[in-house]
Amino acid sequence: MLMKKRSTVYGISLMVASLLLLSGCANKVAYQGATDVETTNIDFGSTDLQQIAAKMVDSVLSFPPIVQVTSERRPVMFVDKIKNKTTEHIDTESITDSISNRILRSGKFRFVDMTKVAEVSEQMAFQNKSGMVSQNTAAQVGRQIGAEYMMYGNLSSIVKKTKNVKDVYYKFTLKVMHLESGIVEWSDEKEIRKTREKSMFGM
Amino acid sequence: MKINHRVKKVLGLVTLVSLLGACSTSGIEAIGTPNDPEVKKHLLIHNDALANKVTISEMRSRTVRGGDMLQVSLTLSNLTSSDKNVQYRFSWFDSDEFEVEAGVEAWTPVNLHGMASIRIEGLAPNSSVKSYRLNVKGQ
Repeated sequence: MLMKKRSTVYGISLMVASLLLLSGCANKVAYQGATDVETTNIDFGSTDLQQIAAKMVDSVLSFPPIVQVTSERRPVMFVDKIKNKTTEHIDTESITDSISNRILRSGKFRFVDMTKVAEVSEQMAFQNKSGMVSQNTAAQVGRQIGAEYMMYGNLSSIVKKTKNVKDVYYKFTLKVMHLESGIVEWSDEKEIRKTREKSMFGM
Repeated sequence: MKINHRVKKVLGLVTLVSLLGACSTSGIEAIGTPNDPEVKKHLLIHNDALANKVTISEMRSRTVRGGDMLQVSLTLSNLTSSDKNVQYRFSWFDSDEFEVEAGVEAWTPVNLHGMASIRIEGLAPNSSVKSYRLNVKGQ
């Protein structure tokens, strides 16, 4: 009788454990917060991008000489490509987009978009040369504002691996140069280090 | 009778595990306004278990020198002797308590070593910010 009771308890426990395991194997799609920490794998991810953007924006906007320059006017800046020196495929334009977006929305700098020069040029030609646009409303050629500062940088990484552990170190360096003088007015780095350890079951 | 008791125990344990999992997203929250650095009256505890292990103190804020943007600094301390992985996020509010640049600030992971404290610094996204919140949760 006692054996029977025991086997019933074990049976129920086994059923509950099986249910939990089975539910773990089922496919499930769910929306997550875009700003939540993401650790799907060790590769460069959204959390790394967000951390880099936040650190760089806070740093440049609180650096005393930059604060002084931006306290009375909104200088114009252009963003150069960020060199990806890592072995991963990383969309570095997405990092600079986040940084320039936050800086622009702070109201301290204005930007010129060098990725749209061809399109702007085409539109200006259409407005001024096609004869289809009233010259009273056409945007005048030669009146764009030249950038005073250039933002540029690079992303590098050091990867180390053993049989069970992978360690990735990222270093993002960003600089702001005063174009006319060639002086680097501001520079900062953001370091990120992540490790992945294989679990006992190799999951 | 004995079976029922054991079955209840097993089911109770499963429920407890599920509940603990569900509770892990709440944390502690510090609400800061400039010129009022007293932490205790601005600290909201949503998770006692976490608050016993991690705490926020030394809330300081200032306007960036020569500028007009709010800059804040808080201490995050691990009260235990083991490492703690936590996440924090700032939220910024204007004078009407409207959130400024909502959804832009991301959760930042941080590894707090045993009994260690770190300073967390944040810069308001623009000059309209008058107060802030810092949320801390376990990982």
